Amino acid sequence: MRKWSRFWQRSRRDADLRRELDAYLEHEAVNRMADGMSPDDARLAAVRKLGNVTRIREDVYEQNSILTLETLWRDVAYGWRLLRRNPGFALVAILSIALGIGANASVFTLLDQVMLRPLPVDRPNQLVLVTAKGFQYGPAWGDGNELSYPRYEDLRDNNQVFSGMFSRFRLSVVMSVGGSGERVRGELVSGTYFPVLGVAPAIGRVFDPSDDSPPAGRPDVVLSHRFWQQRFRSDPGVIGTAIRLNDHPMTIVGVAREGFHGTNLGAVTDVFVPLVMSAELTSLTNPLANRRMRWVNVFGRLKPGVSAEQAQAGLQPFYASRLAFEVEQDAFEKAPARDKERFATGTVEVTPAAYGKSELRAQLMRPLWTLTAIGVGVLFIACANVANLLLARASTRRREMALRLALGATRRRVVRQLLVESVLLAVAGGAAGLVLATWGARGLLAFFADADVTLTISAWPDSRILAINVAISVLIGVLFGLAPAWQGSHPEVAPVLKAESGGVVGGGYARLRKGLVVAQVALSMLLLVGAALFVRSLNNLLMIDAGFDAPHLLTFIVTPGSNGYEPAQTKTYAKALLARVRAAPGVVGAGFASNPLLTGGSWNDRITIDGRPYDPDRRPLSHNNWISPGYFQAMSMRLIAGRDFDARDESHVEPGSPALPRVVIANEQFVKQYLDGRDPIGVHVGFGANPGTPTPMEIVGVVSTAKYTTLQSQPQAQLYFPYFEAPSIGGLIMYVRTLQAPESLAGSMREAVRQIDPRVPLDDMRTMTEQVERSLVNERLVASLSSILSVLATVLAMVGLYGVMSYTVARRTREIAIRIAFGAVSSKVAALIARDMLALVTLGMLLALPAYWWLNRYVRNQLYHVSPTDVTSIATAVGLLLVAATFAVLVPSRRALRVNPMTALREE
Amino acid sequence: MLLGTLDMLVLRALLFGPAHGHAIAHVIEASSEEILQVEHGSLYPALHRLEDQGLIVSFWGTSENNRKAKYYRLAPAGRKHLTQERSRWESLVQAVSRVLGPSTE
Repeated sequence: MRKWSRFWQRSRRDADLRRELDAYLEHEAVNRMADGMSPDDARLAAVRKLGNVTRIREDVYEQNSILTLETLWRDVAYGWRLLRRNPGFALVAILSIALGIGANASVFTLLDQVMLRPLPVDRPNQLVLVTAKGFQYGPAWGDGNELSYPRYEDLRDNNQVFSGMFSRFRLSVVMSVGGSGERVRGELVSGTYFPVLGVAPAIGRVFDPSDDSPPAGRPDVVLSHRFWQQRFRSDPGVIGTAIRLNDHPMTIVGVAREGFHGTNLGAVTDVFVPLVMSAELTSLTNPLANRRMRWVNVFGRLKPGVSAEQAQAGLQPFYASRLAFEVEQDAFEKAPARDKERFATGTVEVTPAAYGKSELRAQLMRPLWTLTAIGVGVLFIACANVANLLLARASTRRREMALRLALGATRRRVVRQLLVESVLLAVAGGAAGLVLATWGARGLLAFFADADVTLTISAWPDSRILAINVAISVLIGVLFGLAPAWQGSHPEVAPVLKAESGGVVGGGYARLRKGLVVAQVALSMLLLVGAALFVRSLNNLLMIDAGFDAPHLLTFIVTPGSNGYEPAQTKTYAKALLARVRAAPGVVGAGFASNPLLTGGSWNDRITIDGRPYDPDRRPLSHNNWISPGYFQAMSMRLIAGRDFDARDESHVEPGSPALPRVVIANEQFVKQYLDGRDPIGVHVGFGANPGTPTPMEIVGVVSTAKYTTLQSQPQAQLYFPYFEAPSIGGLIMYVRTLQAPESLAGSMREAVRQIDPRVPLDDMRTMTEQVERSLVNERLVASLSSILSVLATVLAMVGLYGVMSYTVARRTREIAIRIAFGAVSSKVAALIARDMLALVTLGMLLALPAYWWLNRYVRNQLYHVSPTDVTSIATAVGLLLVAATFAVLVPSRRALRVNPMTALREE
Repeated sequence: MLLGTLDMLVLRALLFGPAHGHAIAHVIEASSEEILQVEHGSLYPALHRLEDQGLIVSFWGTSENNRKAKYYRLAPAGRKHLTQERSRWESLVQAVSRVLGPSTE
């Protein structure tokens, strides 16, 4: 500590010392004068007695300074001056590094938040997801990782491996605070949710296990912190406010702490509601007691010292006993023995869930790693450029280095100074790169039209990334500056100082520099081919025939059921809305459906077909939708046989009753796949997969096949049911066909919805083209980014090529001069240069081959209908690279052509 | 001068009260009866070192001829250090004498 204060004060101490020494001299002189000496002689004698004042001051000064810091600072100052005197060199180097680091930091900012950050809860490493494996029996909501609520309760109350468990279900609800309604993102959670996660309230209270019992009065609601800030302007008076969710009265009792958005990254929650309200808020029947319906995600917190595997093993016996119990219940009455057997041998699975359960994460995993790999490639090319530049400069400074060595500098000192220069460049580049990164990250986020994503993921690199950035910059500076520094500190001192011949401007280290350029070309080649492949793949996807006329469709969602409408009222509403929409100007057709398209999921069921023998291994599965009359026309789907739904198909059905629609329309794929050449009209079908299932529904029409879950999926067998014969549906998805631009209808649609009932909100309005693009967000992200980055990489590599080619031309000036003097034509000279360039580029491309082979299988499953060895893509990449290389060597070749043999040969 | 002896002499010189650099130099010369000739310049790095080690403390004061001079005085740690060094020096002298044997003159 004292060492540091001495260090900072050394100039002051030096001044002090000078005064002290002056005092001594005076003293001594006075003494001598008292002895009778003359003032001048006395002064002289005093000085002699003291000794070398400068040396005394130096000794003390050195005592006070920290030598390494001193010299380091001097190196930095020197390096800074040097860079300012060579702005061109500095600029290119800094820009290269900035681009390389910027690209990586942008991707990493996203990667970090999506893949590398556990949930912001207490000890996330103890969290696990509990799922059921094996044959299930009964309907499911979600992606198959759900359990039924009774089964959750069983596990919660009968385990020794968890210190707590909770369950949740994502739900969109309509919230009204005194007046109009708005759609908000809700999450049904068990009372144990907040305690087990360890999320405390910011104000008010959060749920506790008492919230698992039916509420005495109005049910409680907890807001998320972000929603409280945005929607309620952080008003603490919000506690106790009465609101309505889906027309049910509730009370806000608290706000969760800041930073907590739920357990699903990329999907924010606005309001948390107790699970016991599920019957009221969802369209599920008897969700809390129905053992056959799987709908909740179940999480557990492991007891300290218990691993996920141990927990899984520990739960099996109890789980098996529950299965044995369930299989004896009434629900399995009609099940075939084989199904019962398969059911009873199901198992429970416990998987780590420190990152929660996120669809966004699963979806983005592969593209983000691909982009990271690309980013690293760009960084390497950028750094190779800098290394090349440093090598070039090192050779021009050979005299300076030789001089310093001759004057007594140690090699280590010289190397250190050169390293300081390269680190300075790298750090400057790193800082610039960070600025680029924020733009880059924002650009990446712009791909996600979902507001949810941009809410939870920020474009700003956090302090960790900043620290990593600094560390990597310094590392780059050292790594890529080391070879040039080492080379630079080993000039042959005597010959260089004597300025002997052979010294070419920018010369030296030829092989190393050429090697670097070859590596750069190889990497660029890989990146270009990759980009070409991704672009072709995206193109293929965009050209898929969706089966409906996406460019002319506008879609939106309304859910009157969330505003308290009974099913019969919903149907009246739907009819009124349809009529109004059809009457709007510009609309040439409209229809609606119950389930959305291109979201990756569908309502699907096992189907029993009359006349088709029961085969337990080939049970028909159909993807289903309730639709209105006019739906097919709006979507421009073709009616191939039979009829569309019309006014006949509106039988009155009691809400909640098990009655089924009487008619159904199948698509071509269904007919092809399951009807074995029979005439489909008149065939009867029924829901369910057990033998002996009744088949009361009659096929009255056949339509063309359209995409349902995703664009890329194979044609799926689908069944359409008449909306107006549905027992109860809370909402509908309207599709409006127009020959104008679909966006232009947005205003009139809002107006139509508002006119019927202003309390019912209109949501998710977009054109079907947007919907298609949303479903392809991954592919668009990767295609765009890999294109941009590969072009960037190629430009950087070409800068490197330019540098090396300039050097080559300069080195061969004598040879060229001689050839010209002997009558060589300019084309011959150009051919000379071209040969050199081609050698480098071809070598690079060949080098890329083995790497390409290896990366093949990794890239293969990200491509759609494009083989990794696609000739067009490879040819495009090769062509682009050759064109770019030609541009890069234009200037050096002009220089070569302009060599004047007289002047060139006279210079040595 | 053996390394470290200069430090010891300086501390000894300050034992009887504070003094400035010039005075210290002359005290050392005088009490050794001019046998120990100190290059006065080498005193100052030693003074600085001793001060950084906390064995002496400096302050600016007025000298005999009414000029400003930097004075040094012994710190408690310095006093203790002196005692330790003195006993170590004495055992060293005894050891060397034993090795050399009694004087044979």
